[in-house]
Amino acid sequence: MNAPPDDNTLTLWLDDELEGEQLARVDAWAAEHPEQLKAREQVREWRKLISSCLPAAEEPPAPEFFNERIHHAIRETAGKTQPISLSAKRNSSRILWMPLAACAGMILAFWLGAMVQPADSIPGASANSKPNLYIPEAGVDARWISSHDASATVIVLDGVSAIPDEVDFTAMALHRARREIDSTAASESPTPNP
Amino acid sequence: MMRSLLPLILIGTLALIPTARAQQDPGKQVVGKIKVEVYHATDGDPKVAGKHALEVDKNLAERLKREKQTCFKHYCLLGSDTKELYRSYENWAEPVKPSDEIMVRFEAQSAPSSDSATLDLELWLGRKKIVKTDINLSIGKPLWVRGPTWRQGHLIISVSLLSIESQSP
Repeated sequence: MNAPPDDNTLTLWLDDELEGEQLARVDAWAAEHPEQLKAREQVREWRKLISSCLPAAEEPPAPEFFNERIHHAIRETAGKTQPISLSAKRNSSRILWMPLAACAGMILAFWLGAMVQPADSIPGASANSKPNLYIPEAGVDARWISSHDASATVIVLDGVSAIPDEVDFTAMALHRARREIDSTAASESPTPNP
Repeated sequence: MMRSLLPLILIGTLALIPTARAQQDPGKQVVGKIKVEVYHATDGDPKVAGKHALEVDKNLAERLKREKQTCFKHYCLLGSDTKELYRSYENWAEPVKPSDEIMVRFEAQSAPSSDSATLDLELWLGRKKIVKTDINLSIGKPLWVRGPTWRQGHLIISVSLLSIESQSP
């Protein structure tokens, strides 16, 4: 008993495109399947019908003829001195202005996007009354006080090592020159830790 | 002709926008000024602070005395430094320069309002970060840090917002 052909082979057989041993094998299988033989006959009839209705090949019209017709149509249109209607003018100006309006809209959107401040940069958005304190040094404690009498915020540090009395802050502190390099804004590299 | 040029005009315009903005570097915009001062506060002899120490203004002394934690008999100004507050860059104040014993690092945490600014602020003592805080400073309402002891008294580090610069968009 012959094994049934796969779909691709069966399609080629229906189109009469199989040859040799493959064709013989499918023919042997189809002999036991009259419905397949009938289907191949139908395909052959359709192919014959189509070939009788359509020419085997058709030459395209001469390109010179095609171009000449276009030139003729342009000459005819240009020769007519028909005024352009108002609506046509409106349409043409609309077509011209649509890309400009789109450009303007995109630029406006870019500008608005650049101008919109994120929520965390809104003035006062993160202005809390009680500041957070972080004390990285072990043994140091910090307390926060809001002094209404003095109109000041006070942080009290406890446990900080005393500064030796030998240190003289006043030697030059009040008479020094200002250096611009002291800020990161004036330098490419971050300010090194002191 | 016009239609064929439109894409080029659009691309050129859009390409110029980020270039111009990058050249300005808005992060360097000065949004305010910060003044850091160091006072020596003592109940003892104020002369121990040194012969160059300046007596603080009487109004300031009275104000300091109104707060219990900063109330002392005498106050001397040891050093002062005024630095710009940048839009996005940090800055350092060195009030007792050339000594780096006391330093204050600060940067804007958000856009300042008309009379106040929220800062990320750090106090460095002896090359060590002692305290870090996020604080909203208002003009006329300083931050006083009662710091370490020194020469029979305490050091008080004052951080105040001097001014807010008008900001361009």
